[in-house]
Amino acid sequence: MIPRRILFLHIFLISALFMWGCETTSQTERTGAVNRSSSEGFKRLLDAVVRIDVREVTYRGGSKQNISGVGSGVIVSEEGHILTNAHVVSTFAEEIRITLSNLERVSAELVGWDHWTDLALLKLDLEELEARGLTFTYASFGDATDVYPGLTVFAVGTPNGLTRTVSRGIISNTSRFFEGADGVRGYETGYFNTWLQTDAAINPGNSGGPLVDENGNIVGINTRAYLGSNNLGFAVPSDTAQFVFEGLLKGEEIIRSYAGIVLGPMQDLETFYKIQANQGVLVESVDPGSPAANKGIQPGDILLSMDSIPLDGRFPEQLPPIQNRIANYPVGSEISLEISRQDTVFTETVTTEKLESRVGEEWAFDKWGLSVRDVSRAYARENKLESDDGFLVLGAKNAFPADKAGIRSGDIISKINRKAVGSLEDLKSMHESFDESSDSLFFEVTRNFRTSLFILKP
Amino acid sequence: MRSFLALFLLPIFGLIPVSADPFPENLSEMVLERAKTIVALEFVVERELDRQEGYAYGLVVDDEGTIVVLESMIPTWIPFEKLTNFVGYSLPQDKEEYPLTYLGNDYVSGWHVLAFEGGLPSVFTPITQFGRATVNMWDSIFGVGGVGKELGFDPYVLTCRVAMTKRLPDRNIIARDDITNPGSPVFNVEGAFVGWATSPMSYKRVMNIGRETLNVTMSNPEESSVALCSEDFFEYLEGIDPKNVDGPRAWIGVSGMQPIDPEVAEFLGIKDQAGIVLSEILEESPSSVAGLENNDILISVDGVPLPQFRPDYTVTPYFQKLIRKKKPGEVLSVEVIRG
Repeated sequence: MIPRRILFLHIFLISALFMWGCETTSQTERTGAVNRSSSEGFKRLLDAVVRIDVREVTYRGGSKQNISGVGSGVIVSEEGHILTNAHVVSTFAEEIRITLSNLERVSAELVGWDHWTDLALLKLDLEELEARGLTFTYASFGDATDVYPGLTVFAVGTPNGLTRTVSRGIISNTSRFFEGADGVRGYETGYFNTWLQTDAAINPGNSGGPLVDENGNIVGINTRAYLGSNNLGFAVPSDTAQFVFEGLLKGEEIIRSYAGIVLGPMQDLETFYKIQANQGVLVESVDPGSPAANKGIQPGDILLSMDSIPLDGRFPEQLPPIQNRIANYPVGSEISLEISRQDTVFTETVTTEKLESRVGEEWAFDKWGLSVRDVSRAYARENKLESDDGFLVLGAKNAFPADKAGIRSGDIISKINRKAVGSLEDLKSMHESFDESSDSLFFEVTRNFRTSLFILKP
Repeated sequence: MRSFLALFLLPIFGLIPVSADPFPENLSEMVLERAKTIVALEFVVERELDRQEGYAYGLVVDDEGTIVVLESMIPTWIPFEKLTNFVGYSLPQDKEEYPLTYLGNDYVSGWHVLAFEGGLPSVFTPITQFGRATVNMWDSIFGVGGVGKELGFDPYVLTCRVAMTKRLPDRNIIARDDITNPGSPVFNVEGAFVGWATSPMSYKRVMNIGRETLNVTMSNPEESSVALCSEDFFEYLEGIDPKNVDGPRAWIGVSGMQPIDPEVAEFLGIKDQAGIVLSEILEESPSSVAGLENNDILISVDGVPLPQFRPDYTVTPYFQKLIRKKKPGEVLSVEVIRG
């Protein structure tokens, strides 16, 4: 379990490191003690780290509101791509401003995001840069296989607003596991990767900044820390970051496969299940209505192999790679699973679906004082709803028609005027024609599996 | 010193005209007689690892020594065999402990029914001895209750006036102040039984602690200002058969009953009456066999339209009571709106 204290760290900046870097070099030359962290690669990395100011929308509380946030990122290509955390810049961002290391501010746009790994890719406005005669450098990824516990690393960021902070530590663990968390604005995260743990000081404000080796190669993206503890920080590993970077260059999102199986570690259950140690992975639960459920796979089954490749899920940190292996199949693939159930072993073929988030599209209806989120297939399955039609109420503004009618956040709007509401467009057009002279609307709402009826009066 | 005295005396003078109250001079005698209708009872809840003692006040309702206790006073979620060692005490406590038998939990009223082992002891009097009456707003009433065991279960009296009466859906008397212990009786000035004090209401209060302001909801678990009126009390009582308290229970198989508000009722064209959404009809249940479907809106039962209550949700316990009054196998005819 992850203690609640693990919080996502919004990052502040890194800037003006170029200037400071020059000075440092001349000092070290004078003393003759050449510090490897002042190498060309490291200086280049410092130049590639940016501050990100974001203005984004939120649909909490019944209306569309703007909030602002600050984070860090690192430029990773000569085309001006910036890698940061999904919890720093998301699809809710309306304005993204980048502060380069030379303190110049420029615009950027979101290329795509992947909340599953808490990463987002931005792109600098190159035309603006050219017009203003600005240049930048970019950092390169290190080799993930070279990372070992004890490796010296540096975290670059703006902890608690202290700009241009470089902290040093070592890699404390290379495959830390957190059970599925939904920390990116309610979006799922951490299913497909383990985390690098470091004792380099990481504080609120470090998020989205790079964790680098002495040569300035990106080892990870700093994302989380235990607050109130001593130097327990966590970074998304560089191979995951590189995979997502390359994937987001091709499209707005990373397309993954989904089978509907929630895995659990075998730990010491091998004896109980009468199978050899270090073999198999436990099916902890199966999503109702998912491909695996439709094929009769049950909680308590043991997956022994996947397309003839043996699986080993004895320990929790071994689960994300297995989940990632399923995810990396093209959508619609047939996966052959060798399953052990009680005393029998059999093979079942599961056809994957496209992985979807439980979080659907959000919108706010000003005249109703109501903000909603589309009920996704995943959300419907998770909450045992009859269909994925309908909209989850995020908020109802005090004394506006929806609130006065009795609609509350957490309700699911299933029908309006006795018709199922399937699309956000339907709702928008109904809202559009809602005014002083229009008829009342008849809402059918599901609350804790009970049906409630409400009249929305203009 | 003089100003202090003045402050002290003023309220006393102020109170004098009010002290001319409507209660008879022999009120204390009346109280002591009526305290004999109350049984202070103790019991033990046997749990997995330990035991918990409980206590409650019950009312003696007949010459056979039957006692009724409010639903909330004895846990209902525990198997009956885990409730043990029921004993009763008189008000005030005489030497004896009176052993009691737990007979069960009545389905319609929700009350617990107990009886004295070996019939009604002579120190107790059934509530029926004192007649019954109805009270209305501003009528004077008095409640007879008992203090705790450590104080010897001595009887006490509180007097006040009826602030209002309200159907929720049972007719309740709501007094200005706390009137007696939950489970103890309330009488009018003539000494006739008018109501049975039920679970206490909670009151909203604003608490200021230093600079902090807290909105709190408070209730006094020892005393109540609400009583079930005597007509409804006796109606429930008549439905209880002490020899067969845990008889078969009627069930229709509907889950998630949600009342509709008057605006929705008007929209659906059923003015001046209530409706209940039957969210889920359980498979193979009597409702399902009868042809009810999920989200049907119930509007009348046995030919009688559902009456409108405020608050709206009061109609749900009203309907549940109608179901509970039926015996298994009896027919309940309902009218619903669909689609």
